[in-house]
Parts: sequence; C-alpha cells; structure tokens
Amino acid sequence: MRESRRLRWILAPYFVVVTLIVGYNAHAIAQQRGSALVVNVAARQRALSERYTKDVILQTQGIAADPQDDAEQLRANADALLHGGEVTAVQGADATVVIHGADDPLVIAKLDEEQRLIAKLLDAGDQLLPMSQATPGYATRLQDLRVLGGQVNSISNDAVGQITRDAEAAFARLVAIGIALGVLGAIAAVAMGLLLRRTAATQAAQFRSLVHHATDLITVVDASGAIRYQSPSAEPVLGRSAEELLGTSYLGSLDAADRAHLDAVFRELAATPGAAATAEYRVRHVDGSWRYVESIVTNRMDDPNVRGLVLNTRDVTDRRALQDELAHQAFHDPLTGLVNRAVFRDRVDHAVARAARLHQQPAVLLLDLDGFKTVNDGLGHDAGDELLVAVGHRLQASGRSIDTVARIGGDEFAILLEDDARSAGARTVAERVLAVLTTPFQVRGREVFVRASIGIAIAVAGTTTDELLRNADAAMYAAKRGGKARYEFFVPIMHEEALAKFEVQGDLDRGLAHSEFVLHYQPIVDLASGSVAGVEALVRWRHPTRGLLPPAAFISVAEETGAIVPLGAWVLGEACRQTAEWRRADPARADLWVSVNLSTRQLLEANLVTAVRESLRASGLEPSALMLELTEGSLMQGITETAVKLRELKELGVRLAIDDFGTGASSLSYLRRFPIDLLKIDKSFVDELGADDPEGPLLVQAILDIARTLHVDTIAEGIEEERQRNDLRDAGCRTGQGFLFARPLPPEEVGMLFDAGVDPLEGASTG
Amino acid sequence: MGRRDIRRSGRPLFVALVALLLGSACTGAAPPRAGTSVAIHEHDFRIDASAITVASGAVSFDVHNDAPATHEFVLVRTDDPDDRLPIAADGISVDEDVLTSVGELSDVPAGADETLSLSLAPGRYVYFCNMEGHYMGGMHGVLEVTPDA
Repeated sequence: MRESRRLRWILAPYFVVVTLIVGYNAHAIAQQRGSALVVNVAARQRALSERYTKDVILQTQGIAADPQDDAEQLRANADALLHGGEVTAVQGADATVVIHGADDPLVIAKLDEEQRLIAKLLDAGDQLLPMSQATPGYATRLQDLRVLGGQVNSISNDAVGQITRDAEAAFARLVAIGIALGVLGAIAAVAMGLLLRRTAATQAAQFRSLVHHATDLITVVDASGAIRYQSPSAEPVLGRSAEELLGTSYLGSLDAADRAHLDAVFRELAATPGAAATAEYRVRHVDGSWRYVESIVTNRMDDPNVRGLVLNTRDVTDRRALQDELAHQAFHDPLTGLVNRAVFRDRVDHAVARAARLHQQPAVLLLDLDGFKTVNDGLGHDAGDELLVAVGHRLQASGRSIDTVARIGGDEFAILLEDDARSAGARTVAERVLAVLTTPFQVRGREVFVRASIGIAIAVAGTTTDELLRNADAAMYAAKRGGKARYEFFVPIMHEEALAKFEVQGDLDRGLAHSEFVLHYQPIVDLASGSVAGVEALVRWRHPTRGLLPPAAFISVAEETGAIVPLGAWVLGEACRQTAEWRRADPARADLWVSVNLSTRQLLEANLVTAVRESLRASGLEPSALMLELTEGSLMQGITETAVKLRELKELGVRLAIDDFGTGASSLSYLRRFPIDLLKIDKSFVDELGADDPEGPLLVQAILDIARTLHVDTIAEGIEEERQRNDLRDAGCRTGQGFLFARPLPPEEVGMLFDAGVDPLEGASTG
Repeated sequence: MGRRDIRRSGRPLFVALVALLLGSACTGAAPPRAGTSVAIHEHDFRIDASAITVASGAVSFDVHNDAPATHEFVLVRTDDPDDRLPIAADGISVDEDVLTSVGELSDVPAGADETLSLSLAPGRYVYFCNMEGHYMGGMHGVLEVTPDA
C-alpha cells in the first residue's frame, strides 16, 4: 500500500517532465521554423535589391522590366521583418507566410537602417527611371543607385547575419533547455527505476520476513532429502535452529516407516518438475517428543532460484489430538471409557474372521447387571452412573489385557475373549467376574450390592458375529431365568426359546397398541356366607393368532422387556373403572372390592403411587375397594424403598396383600415391616387339604396362625373342592377363591353371577 | 574581391582568422612601447578620426562603430586622394589588390570598440570601409604620419 503511494509520487512528476519535454520540443520546432522563415525573408532582400537595381537600369536602357514589383516587395518585406506580418512565400505550396517581427534591438536597428536605405534606393531609382543613357547626369544617378543598392545589400547581409546569429543562439538555448529537460526526464526515469527496484526489494524483504515469521516451516531439500534451506520457524517444532539443520537429512528426524514413505514421495516428485504431493507424518523434537506435521511437497527443480523440493510444513499435532479425542468419543462409551457397542461388534467381527483362519474359538460373555435398576431408581441416575463406572473398572481389571471389555447398553456389558479361548477360559472369566462383583460397591456413601447374569457363547466354525452375539444374549436370559448371579453357556434350545420370546416381545407392543388385552375377574367369596366379597382382576391377551392367552404366556417376557409397566397401568385403571361401575350399578354391591396383581417391576417404578392415585381418581373408586397383590420376591427387592412406597399406598387407603404366601423365602421379621392387610394362601397348601395328608391342615393352620400374629386377613387360593372350603372355613380362613366357586370370567358374566350367587353351599343345601 | 565574397557568404570566423593572420603580419614586429592613439568613430556612412596627423611609430586606432551596420577599418599607404582610390570591377568598391594594406579591422560590429595597433612609418595614409557601397557612401579619410620629433 505504502509502496504504491510512493510509486504515484514518482510517476506523477515523471509524466509531468515527459509532457514538458514533448511540449517544449514542439515549441522549439515551431520556433526554429519561424526563425528559418525570417532568415529566408531577410536574405531575400539582397537579391531583391540587386534585381531592382538591374531592372531600373534595364528600364532606362529601353528593355522591359518591372522594378516597381521589386520595390514593393522590398518595402513590404522590410516592414514585415521589422514589425511582423505576411510576406510572399519563397518556397513551398503556400502563397504567403506569416513571420514574426524582430525583437533583438540590434536587429531592429539594422532593419531600420535597411528600411531607410531601401527608401533612398527606391528614391534614387525613381530619379533614374525617367532618364536614358543620353540624359545628362545619368551616369551620376546610376552611380548613386548602384552605391545605394550596394549599401542595401550590405545592411541586408548584416541583418541576416545578426538574425542568423540570434536564431542560432535561440536554437542553442532551445537545445540546452531540451537537453536539460531530457536530463531531467532521464533523472526521473532513473529515479523511477531505482524506486521500482527498491519497491521490489521491499516486497522481497517483506516476503522473506513473511517466510521467516510464518508458523509454517519452509524447507528446500535436494532429491536425496538433504536440507538446502530451512526457515527459522523450524525451531519451535524441531527444537533445532535453521542453521543446525542446514545440510542434514530431512528424513533424519522421522521414524523408519515415515522415512521410507517420505523418501518414496521425494523420489516420485523428483522425476516430475512442478509436481506436488501432500504427506502427513511425525517428526521428532530434540526433547524426544513427536510432533505430527503435514507437508505440501512441490518440485521446484526447474526454478533457478530454488533448484530443489520445497516443503511447506504445518504442525498439526493439536489437530491430531483433537481428531484422536473425537475418534475416542466415537468409539468409546463416554461414561465408563470402555469401548462402545460399535467397536465391540467390530472386534467380534475381526475375531470371528481370524478364528476361521487360525482355528481359534473366540468367546463372547454378555453381562446384565441384576439389581442395577434398584440403585438407579432408589438413589438416582448419578448414583447409577457411578455404579456403572465402578463395575466397568472391576470388569476391566478381571479380564486379560487382550480381552475387550465393552459397555453395550444401559446396564449391559460384554467381554470378548479373542484369542485361544476354550470353554474353560470363558468359564474362568465368568467366575472371576461373578467373584469381583460379590464385594459391595460404595456409591454415595452407601454399600450397594449388584450381581450379574452372564451368558456365554463360543464361536464354532462358521459362526457369524450376529449368531455369536445372539447366542450370548439367549444364554444371558437363561442365566437370569435360572436365578441370576450366575452364568450359562449357550445351548441351541436357548435359541428357540429366545426366538419365541422375541416373537412375544414384538407382539406385546402391538397388543398394547391395539387394545388386545382384556380383564377377567375371579370372584372372592366369603367362605361362611358364600356371598361374593370381591374379585381378583386377571389379565388375558386376546392374541389375534394364538387365541386367548393366560398371563403365564407373556407376563415374564413383559417383565423382561418392561412392557409390564404400561400393561400393569392399564390393568389397574381398567379394574378400578369396572369395579366402580359395578358398585354404582347395584347398591347391594356397594362394598365390592377388587384385587390387582402388581409385578416386581411395577413395584420398582418410581411413579407407582402416582399411578394408583390417578387410577382411583379417574374411576372414582373408594381406595379401600382396591387391593394390591405383591409377591414375597418383589417385596424383597429394594426393601427400604418398597416399604416407603407401601406406606404411601396405605396412606391412600389402599389395601395390600401378599400373593402366593408361603412359597417364597420371605422372613417374618421383614413382613412385619410392611403394612400388609392380607395374606393369600398359595394353592399348593390348599391342594394338600384335599389329599388326606395329615400334615396338610397343619401347614394351612400355621399360615393362619402367622396371619393372626401379624393381625392380617387371609384369602385361600385355588379352592376346588367343598371339603377344602370347609376345612379352611373351620380353620378360621374367612375368604377364598377357586374353581369351586367360579373360574375367572369376563366382566359381563361376573355381573350375571352377582345376581345368581356363587355359593355352592347354598346350591348344595338347596339341592 | 575574393575576401569580400567570403565575408558576404556568412563565414565570419574564417574571415576573422584570415584578418588576424594579416594583422599579425603587419604588426607582429611592433615594439611594445607606448604610442599615439587615434580615436575613430564610424557612422553610416562616414568615418570621423580624432587626428589627421600622428607621429611615426606606434599608433593605435581605437575604432568605435556608432552605426547600426557592421563596418570595417582598412588602412592603406597611398598618395592618391582618399576619394580617388582605384575602384574594383563592381564599380563601387576600392580595389584593395592594387593597394598596399597596412592593417585593417575587417569586422567591427555595430556598437563595438576594437583597436588596431600598428607601427607606422612616416608618410600619407588613407583609411576607409570597403563594405559594399560604404566607401562611395563617404566612409574614408586621410592620415599624415610625420617623422619622429
């Protein structure tokens, strides 16, 4: 910018000077042409004067001549020479030319004299003309004429001489000024040239400075890689100064692989002038660290100023670090730092491919944490995350370094035993994992227990990645069903089960969406009076292809997949609605109550109490008309949280029952901590009553004693015979249900039953 | 006549050189001693001199041209009357070839002062301007040089 302004400063005067020179030369030429004309006219006076004298003499001798014309020209020219004006042209195409008057006083004096002498000459001519040679005094007059003619000639010569000298002096001045201007122009031209050179030099200096201060490294090497030029920016990257590097091999600070690669690049480029290539490689800093750099290598062998390969090199270490970080994020689970599902899958792919080649048997262990949900729901997601991180660490510590440990889902982990895995190896790893998980975790200052269900699948010849993972999954579910905190090896039967389960799983979602579920109700009867006291709501699936399905066909799958939650919510709402409707329809049924089963998963749902409250509110059912059935097993999950929820439910006014009592391993002391209203005596105990087993009644009696001790009511389940009903009634059990009274029935049939009555005793007594 | 032609053709430098050589030829032997000065004034067309006689020996003519025209100053030794000098073929100029020129200033520009220093022997001398028509126009005069006292 500054350079271009300076250029304008020099260019402007330069053009002024050039314009002056051209203008002045034009002026000088015009001036010279004018002077030449004047000289020409002045010189003609002498010829005119001689011709006049001759013409006068000829005339006096009787020979025709025209002295008057000469006289006029003499007079006119003399006047024009003095004052300027038009004169007859001597040469050229023009009839007349205009000349400038004299300005030199000496010339003016001579021209004045000339004019005076011409007047005298013409006067003398006038006196002679009337005469002839015979006239007396002719000779004297002729003499006078000739003398005057000579004097005119003389002064005319004199004037021409002076005019010429003046013109020569003027021309010399013009030439001098022209030369001066030329010199000025030359000086301007030289100055401009110098400035242009300086500007170019400044630009070159700026470029050099740019090169010197650029963060990019600029290196010139010959074809062998020897450094011929190195910009100073090398120092921060390599820790060596440009001077130190000169003459050394550029490839010297590279590792073997990069050196071979870059050497090949150099060789290839050296063959083609002008060719360019990029390369990314590492260079070693003097301190031993490696820097990632990216070079654009250009062949400038043809350029006489370079004659080498030019490397424009940029330090991309920071960029690489960022790329690596992004890559890590793409391949790793951000929470635990373990590899993610995609990477795990990729590793399994490779292991499977290698297995075929090397006759190895890679194994996959799939782990699903048991009890994780309790922690997550009870202590919050942050606690859950903390637990997952801790589990991840223990898993990694328990495996071998060549094994891949991955987190592939919420609480699902996977381990790939890539190499040399036999079933003994996988078993060892599984046992070790189960062992490390037995130690409780410290989460938020609390001891937390988690276990894992592990499924193991081992690849055999031809096993694909998909098959291997699916098999491990099936084995894992088998382990869960088998009682958790255990491992199972995949066997083909699991696959079929898994397929069936998979089918059900898909159907469940669809069934929920299409309202394929219905409730049946089994009456719960007052064993003494035979009247219907309440009903137990039991879900049925009206499957479009498999017909009406009992809960056993789908509830466990629904539990696993979580579909139990929306399904359970629907059951609760529908049962409340139906019961409220029955209670409103007939004042005789105003005390009717309904019992609804809660699954373990539902019990663990954080919003269980809200869901119950909402169902009651929507249906308008009295809370006391709702009884929730829980299993002993579900009560043992997250005991503290469950106790809190149960108390909240109690506060709503809802009644609580323990289903299938006597089959689980619940402790009586625990039971006391829950606000239970009722125990349901499992069908297996009731069955004993009809079997002439002397111990049968004793077991039922024991349960009834417990109920009395706990101050809770009892309902006997699965009463099929009158004898059973009688024994129970006699033992003090107040209510019961079973085929003796009624099977679970669709709601419309239950309505009819209310009217008809269900009491077989009544029937028996009447019949 | 040849000399006149040269001058007329506009080569004053050459003429001056010739005149200088001629002048040297006449005056070269002049002893460097103080002599008589004669003031000469030239006009169109007459020559005024401050003296008509001088003593022989060193004489310097201080010529001043008062006229606008250029003039010359030619000195010859002759007993002819100054207005009866031999005339050349043109009928109006003095025929210098038949006269003995003692010295001359061949080109005294208008307004200029020039000096012609000569060593003159006693005798009768005539001076004139021989430019075309100037002698007959009246530019001539006589100088008597008397022997040293």
